[in-house]
Amino acid sequence: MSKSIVAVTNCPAGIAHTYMVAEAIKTKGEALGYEVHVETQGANGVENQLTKDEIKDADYVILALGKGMDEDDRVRFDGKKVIELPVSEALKNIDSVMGNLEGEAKPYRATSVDLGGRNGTGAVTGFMNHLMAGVSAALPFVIGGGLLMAIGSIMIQFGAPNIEPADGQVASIAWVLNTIGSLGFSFMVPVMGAWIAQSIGGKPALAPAFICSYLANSSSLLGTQTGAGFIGAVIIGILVGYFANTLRKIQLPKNIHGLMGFLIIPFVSLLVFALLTYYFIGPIAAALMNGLVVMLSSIPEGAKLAGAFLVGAMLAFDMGGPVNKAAWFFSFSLVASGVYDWYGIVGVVTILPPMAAAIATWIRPSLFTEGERDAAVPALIVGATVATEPAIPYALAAPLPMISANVIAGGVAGAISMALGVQRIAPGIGIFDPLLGLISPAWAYYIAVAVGLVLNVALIIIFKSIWLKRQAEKAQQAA
Amino acid sequence: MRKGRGMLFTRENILGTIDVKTQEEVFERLAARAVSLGIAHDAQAIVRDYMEREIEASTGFGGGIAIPHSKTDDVSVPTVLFARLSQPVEWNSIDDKPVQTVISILVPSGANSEHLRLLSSLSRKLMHPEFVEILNKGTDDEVFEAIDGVLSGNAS
Repeated sequence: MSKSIVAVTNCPAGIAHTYMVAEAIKTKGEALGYEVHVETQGANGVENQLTKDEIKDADYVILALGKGMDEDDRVRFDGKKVIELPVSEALKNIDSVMGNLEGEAKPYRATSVDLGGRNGTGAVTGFMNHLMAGVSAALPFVIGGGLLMAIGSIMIQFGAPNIEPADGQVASIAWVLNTIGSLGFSFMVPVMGAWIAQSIGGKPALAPAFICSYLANSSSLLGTQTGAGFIGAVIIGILVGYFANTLRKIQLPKNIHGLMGFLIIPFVSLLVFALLTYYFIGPIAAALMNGLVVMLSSIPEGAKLAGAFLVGAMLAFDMGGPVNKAAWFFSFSLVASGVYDWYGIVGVVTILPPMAAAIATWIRPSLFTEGERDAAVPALIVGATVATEPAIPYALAAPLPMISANVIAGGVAGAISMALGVQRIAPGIGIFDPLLGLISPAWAYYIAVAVGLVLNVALIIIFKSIWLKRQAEKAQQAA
Repeated sequence: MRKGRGMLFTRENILGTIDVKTQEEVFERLAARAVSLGIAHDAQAIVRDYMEREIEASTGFGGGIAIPHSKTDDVSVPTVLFARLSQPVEWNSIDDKPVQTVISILVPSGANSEHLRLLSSLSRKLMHPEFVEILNKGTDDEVFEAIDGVLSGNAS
């Protein structure tokens, strides 16, 4: 059997490059002896839509994209070897790409990064998409950096020396790992701002937003008490993005119009926003961030636990929807400012709903359909390590009892997590995070998870039994 | 267009060899032709549409040929325009070579899907060296036959 390729092409106007690249991939691929199917997402809508079988049988997936592809569309390529490149790049380098598919391809996992559960219902709005573009760019910085720091800290805990470089002193490896890891944390803020801006205003907006977000987070440059952290990056990313879009509409005299993208927009945006950031946005956002951090650290214990309950409940509420995202974003944004206990709640709560649902199917199989029982093992594994999504089907089948149980257990687990001081510095692989040094203290984390799980499972069984009984009664009355 | 399906490609849409020095002049000439053909009112707006598309990424796809195009409500029907340039013009092409042949597509939003399908087969044809060869070297008649063949749905 010949090897096969599936591809998707799209471009901003959907008139020329979508089809040119589609044709190039097809001709070139067939010349190389592949079976080729190309889906075009152009002005005429989706044509030659790839079938499940075509994707399943494909050895490689080529995504030549000029206007991106959202997660919902991308999920179908889960587990495939994917070559993704800009459509213009595809046109230029088609020969070298097609000649080296194995070398260019990267295995794609649909939910490789735990965002506290991705959106399963399409409820995330355009605006939230821009924020999440920033988050998904920034996350690898904390993940990579966080793991390096974790390794460095573990080495020091086990007695490795922590020596800075100095005259006649060579830095110790633990110090090097720690220091480089912390670079990841300092870069994640400007990267976040830069990618939000790019998501809104295209590539010309990236550089100015990067520089200004970095500036806003540099307390020593601004002369403020703290950096502006994520608040600064979000504000700057959004403003620069929309500013770039506005600039692009201006009619310039001939011959200099071509300079718009790579000179005028970056330069004018940088000039305007560097000054704005230095004198206004930076200090204001830094004060906001500082105020938030001070408030969170000084509120009475009771109020803090109530807050933790609320965040935990919100995280569990819609398993990746807007409410979850809001709570997640709040918690994660504090990480950049060195406040880790709210993000600890995320570490605890986001693994509960899928694990609890899976365990409940084993304790009381009669409450669940056969499909739900079959899905329990993958739900438990994926839920414990990667994402909250596997809980969604269980919740959709019986929204009221499942979501009530998740929300209450999430809230309680959140409060316990806060009370025990669980801290999480970066996302990792869920329940194993304490072993990687990403969550500490480990005992507190596992207590919070265990209590949350027991409560969650118990509530699911109680609520769903009642709910099923009512459904049955209703059905009888109707009959 | 001969088949009278409301899409515009006639011999009038071939501008011949136009005397231009810059990309912007190319756009102005194309836009002026669209206006004189009665499918657009505002040449300035069309030039701007071309520009905006060009800022996103160059439409010069190598080998001295470019496909400036736009989805724009400044035209009333889908239109294909063709021109050769009196001298090579800088286009920021993917192979960095200047452009001497231009085939342009203008599409109003909400164009019917049959037209879009024909236009997409025209775009696809640009990946075939023998078609590009005609665009680059052929006489106006040959170019007309080649493009019209694709747009009539008669192409191989």
